[in-house]
Amino acid sequence: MKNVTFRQVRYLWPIYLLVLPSLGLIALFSYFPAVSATYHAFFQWNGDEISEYIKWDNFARALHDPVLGASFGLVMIFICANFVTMVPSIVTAVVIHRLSSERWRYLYRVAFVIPMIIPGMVWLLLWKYFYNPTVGVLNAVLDATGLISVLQWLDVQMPMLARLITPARDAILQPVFGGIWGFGLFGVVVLGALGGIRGALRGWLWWIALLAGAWGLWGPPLPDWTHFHFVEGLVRWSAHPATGAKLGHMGALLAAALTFGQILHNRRPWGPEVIKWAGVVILAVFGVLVATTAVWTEPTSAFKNASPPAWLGNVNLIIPALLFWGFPWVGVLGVLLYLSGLGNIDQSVYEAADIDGCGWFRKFTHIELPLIMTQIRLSLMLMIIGALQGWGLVFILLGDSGGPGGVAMLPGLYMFHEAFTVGEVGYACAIGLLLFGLIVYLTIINNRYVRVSK
Amino acid sequence: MSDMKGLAELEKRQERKSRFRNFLGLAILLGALGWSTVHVAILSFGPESDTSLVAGKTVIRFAHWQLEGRCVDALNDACREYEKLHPGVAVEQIPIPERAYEQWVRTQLIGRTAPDLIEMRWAGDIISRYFVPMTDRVEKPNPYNADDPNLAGQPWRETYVDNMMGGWNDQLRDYYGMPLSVFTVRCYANRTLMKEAANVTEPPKSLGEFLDICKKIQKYAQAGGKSRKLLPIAGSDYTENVFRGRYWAMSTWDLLEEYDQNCDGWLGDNERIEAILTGKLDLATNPCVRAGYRVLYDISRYFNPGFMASKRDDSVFYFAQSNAAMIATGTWDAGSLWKQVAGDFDIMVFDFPIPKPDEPYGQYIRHRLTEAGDRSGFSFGLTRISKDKERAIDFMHFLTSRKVNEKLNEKFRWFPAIRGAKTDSILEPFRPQDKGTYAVFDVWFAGDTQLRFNQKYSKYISDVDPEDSDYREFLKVAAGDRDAFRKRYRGLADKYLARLGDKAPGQIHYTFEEHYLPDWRDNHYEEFIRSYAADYKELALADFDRNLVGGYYPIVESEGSLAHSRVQAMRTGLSTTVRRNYVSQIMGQAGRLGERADNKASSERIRAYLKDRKDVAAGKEGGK
Repeated sequence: MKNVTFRQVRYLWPIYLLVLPSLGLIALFSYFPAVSATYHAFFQWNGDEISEYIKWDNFARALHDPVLGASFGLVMIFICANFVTMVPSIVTAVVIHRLSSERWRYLYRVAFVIPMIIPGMVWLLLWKYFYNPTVGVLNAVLDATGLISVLQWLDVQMPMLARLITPARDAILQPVFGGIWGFGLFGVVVLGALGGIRGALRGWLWWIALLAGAWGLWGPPLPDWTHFHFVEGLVRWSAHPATGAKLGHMGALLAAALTFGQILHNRRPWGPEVIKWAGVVILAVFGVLVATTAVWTEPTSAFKNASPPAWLGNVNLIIPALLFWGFPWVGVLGVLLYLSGLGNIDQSVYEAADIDGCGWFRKFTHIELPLIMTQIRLSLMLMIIGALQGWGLVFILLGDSGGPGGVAMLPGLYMFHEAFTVGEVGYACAIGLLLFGLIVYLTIINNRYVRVSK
Repeated sequence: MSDMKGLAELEKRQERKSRFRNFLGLAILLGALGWSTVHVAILSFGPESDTSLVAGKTVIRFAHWQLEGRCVDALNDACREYEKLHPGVAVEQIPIPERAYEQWVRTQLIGRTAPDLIEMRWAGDIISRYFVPMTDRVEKPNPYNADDPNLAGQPWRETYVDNMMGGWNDQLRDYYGMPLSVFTVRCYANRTLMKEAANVTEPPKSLGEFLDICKKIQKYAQAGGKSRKLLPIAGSDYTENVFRGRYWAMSTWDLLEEYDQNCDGWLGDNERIEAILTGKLDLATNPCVRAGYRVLYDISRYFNPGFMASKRDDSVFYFAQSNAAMIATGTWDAGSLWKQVAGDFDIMVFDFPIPKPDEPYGQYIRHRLTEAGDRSGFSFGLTRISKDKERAIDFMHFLTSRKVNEKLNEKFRWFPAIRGAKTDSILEPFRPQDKGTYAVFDVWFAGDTQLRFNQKYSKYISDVDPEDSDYREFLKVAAGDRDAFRKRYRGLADKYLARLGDKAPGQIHYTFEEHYLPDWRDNHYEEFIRSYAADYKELALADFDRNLVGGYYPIVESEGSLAHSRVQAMRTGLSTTVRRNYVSQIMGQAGRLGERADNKASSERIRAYLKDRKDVAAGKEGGK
């Protein structure tokens, strides 16, 4: 790309002028509100006349706010769920792509575009009816197939299983890893150490993410520092014995994982494979432990004989119902996006793979998946941003309190509630800024670590 | 050579062409931009900026959330009639869905794009900032009643059945609203289903009888394998709110005696926050509060599962489709319900029953809720940004003239707000009854206390009761390790162990219906209220502090406003019985206290308390 010289600007200025209106509109409707929100985040502001500069108070309040904290926890669950819900779209796209008949491929593409014209509200009402406890389809299917008794059985067995495994789990994991979440994090660090110490340290954002996660998961709770002046609070917090204990514990584990990675890094070809499998096994065990001991730990009492499960009315069922929403999660946009990526793969690549004796699965893992990574990255980014910003569905279904117990309260919904129901627009701006920061951070992580190899 | 020259010439020509095309594009773009800028500027600042003027006509815009077809159509008819009377005026109706209404209006008000008239539903801060006080206007006659022998020449306020109390704002001591209708709420029952499932032909005479009927219907449904389709009561978040509005108000009436420090017949924000924070009122143990929440829980057992995620339309649909035997809703649904079920079944309408003295809750719920003091509703406020306030008021005069109001409410099938206007015969069972108490106590304060209450209460009220299998599991765990039992069942385990005493499990009489279920419900209530009470202590102070700093209650603290309010309340609206109660409350309080504590003194006490708490908190942390 060539830089444009000042001399050339004399000839090209009409082009710049053409850009100006668009720039002006973007500045007015996108940047100005953002700047205004940043400014007002430091005020107690009702959106109109009442405005008082209160320094960092809105942010300190946000850090203390248990509703906001829980809402970020929930959004993290939705973000993690995205990794699962995107899989059916990828699989569908690959299956369509592999159809030998161009006409059928075209028909399927059209079939996937048609649902885009269905208004979102119709979609929402369909799913709401699907979940209706009295006349809904889901409960009718559960009743007709007898699956409701399976759920009743699981509601007794899963908590029992949790009670059985939890003591053993704690006895083994607690002293070494500080608990199950520490164990999971250790698995991630082991995978991160695939490139040895140097490779791991190069990805500084990766480390920040891990440190932040580890901080919240390990050791004793820390004193509340936001009560004090920022600097004073920071000093008190750093000097607290719990901080040292946390840092020590975390440092030892990180060092162990990195040493493990460094030792095996140069033992090729088997060294990196061992690290990879060790990390995968740890994470798999972690996943099983979470599923069995951290999710269904108490009977939900949601699957009764006398009353059908209230999927959107029972505190224990709302989150699973929202996660299941849209099943089988074959997103129209996602499928078309992946198809566009798959369409760019040259036929010769497949021919070469055939000569090498690759089966259908190897073609998927070694050719198609790596070559549509750009689309996956984009799709993942959009899904993450959507999960962080989205709250309309919950608002329409459950109201601005986030439903019974506020279990479905999302950061965006809370921001909306504070701004437009309570009238604390300054605080809502602060929440918006925190959300913005998180989106930027996750986008950077996504761009950096969801690798694209051509 | 000549070829080269020709080529250069051609290039030059093409460059000129390309430059021309660029300029042409730019000129079109700039032209369009310039035109739109000028147009927007003219609309914003020029003589046409007045959005109330379109094509030489004055436009009056009004927004509301009554989306029922009949309501929108009836208002449209009235608008056209008004336009005929005033050819230079156009009236525009803006119906907004209720769920987004509050947020929509707030945005419009802040953006200064709000309509002239807005259906009202807010607290003091919004009203005082954005709406015009009408007190002077309501003392003048309504010109559209000039030909009415009974109402001609009377102050506008006095043409209302409630002396326009529906437009009066207690907090701001001014009239702000102009109401159109009067509403009451009732229980509707499907006569055919009531007979078939519970062998009942008459409305229940007490709360106990009402709950008994519900139980019979539930059992009938279970016996016929229809438990998932046939409900005693069609529930939704809206229906729950209707029941709460009645039973909570009835059960907490007695709190007035104890905590109404300024004797204004209402437990205001300051009085509530002070009583709760200083421990004078314990939400967990106060029998009135307890009765209020428990009775609502008992009633909600007969709603459909997951009713908090159902909406008003869902519950009306259940009832109209004979999937529910009863529903609680207001006069606003009467017309459409009768129309929908015509030919299918008869509807029986009855008031919310109260318990007999010897029934559960009979000690706390002793009086019905009066509707004599009920204020008229569907009330419109005049916004400060209205460009033609006189015209907007004139339009409201028109809608609230006896003839138009009668016609309008006949189409709505609601009670007219204007004296002398005839009522539809269908509304006879809904006629306001004038004996009883009125609502005096809201358990939340504002902002976050309200959010937390909504979250915790909705969980409390919608949780599912345990079943026999839960009971068996409970007994099995109780027979094992004590610590594990306590850890798992917490408060419920404590209750059981207290009953057990020194005896071994199995040696005491302990049944599901008689002991386990009541204990479970007790425990469920306590978990909810203790958790909320703890939150309240944390959040109410912050809410209060912020509201004071923000100056949200500038007028509440003004001296002398209470006396004015009391005179207004006494003069209008309340029935003799209620007025007598009201006066006796005031006199009793005043005599006992010796001096009248007003809101300002209360605010100062809370401020001092707030300061103490901050000092203590700082001291504690500092000492670490």
